[in-house]
Amino acid sequence: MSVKQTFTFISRSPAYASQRASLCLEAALAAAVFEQEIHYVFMDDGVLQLLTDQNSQAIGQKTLSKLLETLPLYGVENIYVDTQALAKHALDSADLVLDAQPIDDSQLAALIARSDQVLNL
Amino acid sequence: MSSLHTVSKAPQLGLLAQCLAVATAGDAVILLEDGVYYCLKNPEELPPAGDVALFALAEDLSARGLLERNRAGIELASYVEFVDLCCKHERSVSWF
Amino acid sequence: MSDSLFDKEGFLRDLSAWSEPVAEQIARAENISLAPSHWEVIRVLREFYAEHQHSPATRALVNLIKRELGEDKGRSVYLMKLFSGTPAKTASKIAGLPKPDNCI
Repeated sequence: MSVKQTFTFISRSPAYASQRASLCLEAALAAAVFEQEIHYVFMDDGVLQLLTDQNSQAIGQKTLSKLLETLPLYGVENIYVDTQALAKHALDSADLVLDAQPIDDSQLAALIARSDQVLNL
Repeated sequence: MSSLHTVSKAPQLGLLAQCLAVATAGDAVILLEDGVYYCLKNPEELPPAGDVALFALAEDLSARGLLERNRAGIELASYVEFVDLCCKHERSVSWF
Repeated sequence: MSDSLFDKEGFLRDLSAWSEPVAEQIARAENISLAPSHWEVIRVLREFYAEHQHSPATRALVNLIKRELGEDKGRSVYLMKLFSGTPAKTASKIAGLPKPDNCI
């Protein structure tokens, strides 16, 4: 078994109301520390995590988008965003804090098929 | 390199359709926990599964009074068969 | 200065209690004498934390220092020399920030 595995993280939930978005990110950062191959996909309402101008101080939480911006520093460069979800919310890449590659269902299917581990939150 | 997808939330969340949208031929889906309520649907109300095999965990149907109400005709799997499915596929992808 | 300012591992409990003399005190406890090369890393770390509310683990610290202070300094060997064996942990401690997650 190779030491380096391919991990795909699929983050499907918005930030703040539940822990799902931040748990998914924490798991990816932990995997990144072990220098694994990481793909991070914002799918469905998960794309809302990427909106610019977030400030969650007033609700007593850390601003998730600020933490998402650290992904490239952890060597996580393969970041994708579900194009259908962006369209559904009438958003485009200028609304997002990270440069993400567009991904559709068939590209995500192919990514899952070549991953050793998939975390879907 | 196939995947076993598990769907464990009630149909109102639409996870089965999301899951089938990224499942590929040779994958399998097993409905668990509240996911087994998909068995109450009529077959034409289910998202098209194509070449993806669809199962539901019999124990979870039984617990919810659904064993005799499986209108969708989804194939039932026991815990042991669930374990077999896990072993047959390279990875699992949870939808919850 | 009372020990209750710090937790068991020597991290500052109240981040707003940090000052340069406090940094000197933490560094002394780690047998580090702060020079300008330390202070520039501490400054980058504190600015990063103010923006991202996150103490970087080693991998991110190296890339952050590379981005802010250049290739020569953005290397784990350089940072290990400055801040001993676990630079992310020690530098965060001296900078008055929380312990980074995923310290390995």
